[in-house]
Amino acid sequence: MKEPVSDLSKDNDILVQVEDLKVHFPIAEGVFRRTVGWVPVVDGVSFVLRRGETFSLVGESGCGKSTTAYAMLRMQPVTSGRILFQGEDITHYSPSRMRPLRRRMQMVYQDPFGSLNPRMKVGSIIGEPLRVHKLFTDKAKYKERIGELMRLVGLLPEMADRYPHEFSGGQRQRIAIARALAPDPDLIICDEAVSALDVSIQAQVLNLLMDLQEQLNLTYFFIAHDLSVVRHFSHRVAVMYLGRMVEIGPGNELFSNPRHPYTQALLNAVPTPHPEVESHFSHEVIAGEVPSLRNPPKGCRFHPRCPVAKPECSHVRPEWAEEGGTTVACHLYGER
Amino acid sequence: MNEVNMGQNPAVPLLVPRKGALYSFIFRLFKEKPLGAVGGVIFLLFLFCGIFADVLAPYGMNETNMLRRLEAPSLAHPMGTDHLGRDVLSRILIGAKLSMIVGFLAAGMATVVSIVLGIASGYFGKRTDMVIQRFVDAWMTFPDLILLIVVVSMIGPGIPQIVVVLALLYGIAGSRIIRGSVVSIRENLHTHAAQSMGARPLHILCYHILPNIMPVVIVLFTIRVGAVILTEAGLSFLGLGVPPPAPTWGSMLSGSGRTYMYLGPWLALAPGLCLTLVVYAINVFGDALRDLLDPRMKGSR
Repeated sequence: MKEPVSDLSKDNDILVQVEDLKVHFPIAEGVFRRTVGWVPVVDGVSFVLRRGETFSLVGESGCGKSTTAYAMLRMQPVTSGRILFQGEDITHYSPSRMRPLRRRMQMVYQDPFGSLNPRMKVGSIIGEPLRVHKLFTDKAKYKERIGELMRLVGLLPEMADRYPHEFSGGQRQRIAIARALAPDPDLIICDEAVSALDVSIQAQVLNLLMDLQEQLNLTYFFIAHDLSVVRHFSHRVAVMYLGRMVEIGPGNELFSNPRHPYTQALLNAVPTPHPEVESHFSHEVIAGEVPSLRNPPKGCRFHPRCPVAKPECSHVRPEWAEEGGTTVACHLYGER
Repeated sequence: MNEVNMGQNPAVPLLVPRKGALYSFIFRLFKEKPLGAVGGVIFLLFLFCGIFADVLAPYGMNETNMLRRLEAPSLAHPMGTDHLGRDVLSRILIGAKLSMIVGFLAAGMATVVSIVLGIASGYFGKRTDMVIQRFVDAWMTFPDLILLIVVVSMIGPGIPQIVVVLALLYGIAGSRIIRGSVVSIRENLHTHAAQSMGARPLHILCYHILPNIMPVVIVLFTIRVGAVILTEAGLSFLGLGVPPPAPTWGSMLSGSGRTYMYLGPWLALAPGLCLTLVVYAINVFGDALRDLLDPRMKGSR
């Protein structure tokens, strides 16, 4: 199953291309931890990241968003599929071959309290990628680069000698961003990078990320569950459900005109920040529970909970279909 | 608790100059952890006595004076004399030296063994972990004392074999504790972040794992120093420790101390109190060190 974008390997605008990515976790049981089955956490995901864009992946907890990102970084064993980084197939690169590439893809984590080593000073936290990849010639240059990075994310270079616990959540996230920027990467993966922050701080950090994108021509792969954050921030959005993508499209189009029943339900669940409007609005909750991935539904994974499911939904996996601006994997669309 | 403190305390310099780091550390030790500081002072005194025992001791350790047997403490003999007329203070001082050697060597080696095994097991995980942990399980089923008695009766008593056996005993058992904290730190996000930026395992071990297990290591080491000194005392008590007439605190306690407890209580009290004091001092000092070396505890009580 392909995202309907034709041959991309020659396209210079494409930074990352993921084709039919599958990540299955073994189920180990018994004394000898024998593998008795597989959980298809990510099951055939394809997408492309274009240089300079913000690509957001949304979906509920456990749908495989983070696993997709980790697999893309080769931090998670890939079961099958292909990952191309600037046209280079990195799916089977050894750890030592991956190492030089890692400086070009950096991560910002959700929890700014856990992602910074409490025993390192902020300066050496930010400089860590520089030291790991030996990206400086002398000590003065190294110090200068750290100061520059701190200014870039809105911190004072004088703070380099403090420890992370002396900073607030928002400031820590800025430190994490400065660290991600240090080796001058092409791609930054933000794994729920603002979810742990207060709303006002979220806005600040998001603005910072947008400014940096403009200045440094960064590509963001943004994992989120907060749709209002995603809406204002992303160029393209993909919606994931139970290990598969159900809809991909430009942010505005997808949000104003959702096609897939799951996307519609997801958007319907977003509360309105207005008490009066909110009181007249009924949020239709999706029926049922998320099925277990140990025994995923056949056909379209959403069919047991889908309000408009048709007979074929329960046994035929839907193909991607262009519908308006977005691409959707649903039997309601495509050839009728 | 520290969040509030930051930026509002101009009296605390943000940039501590490298040269004054030791001084400011000692200052903080006395200001924030007075008990730990007292422990540190006692500990240093113990070290001092151990190192300069031969000079400090007023009499030779085996110098007997049959005319002055079992004398109560006096100016000439501040801790009295034993049943052979030997000066107890001199023997305590020489004993401090032996205890220090045994305690530090064995505890130091045990800590190294624990760190190596704990990291191998906790960081590399999987099969390595499995093999090492089963070995540790098997090792721990042997009672410590039995193993010591077997070794000592096979190659005879002596400081080197006692040190090595104690180091292995405590080291292998303690590797469990190190392994536990390595496993939890390996799963920390900052370790994951270092991996994702392409850091090599050695870098992660040196900058992420080791600094973060330091609190455990310090506590483990200080507890070990006390435990090893006590175990050596126990071995001497059984006659398997450092061979006589070398005076270790344990043998003094068990030999003349026990036999003449009613005639000369100072014979048991002197080594007993010294042992208690030193072990306690090392423990509170270790706790203070652990807290002070944690950057998160800076400025807090």
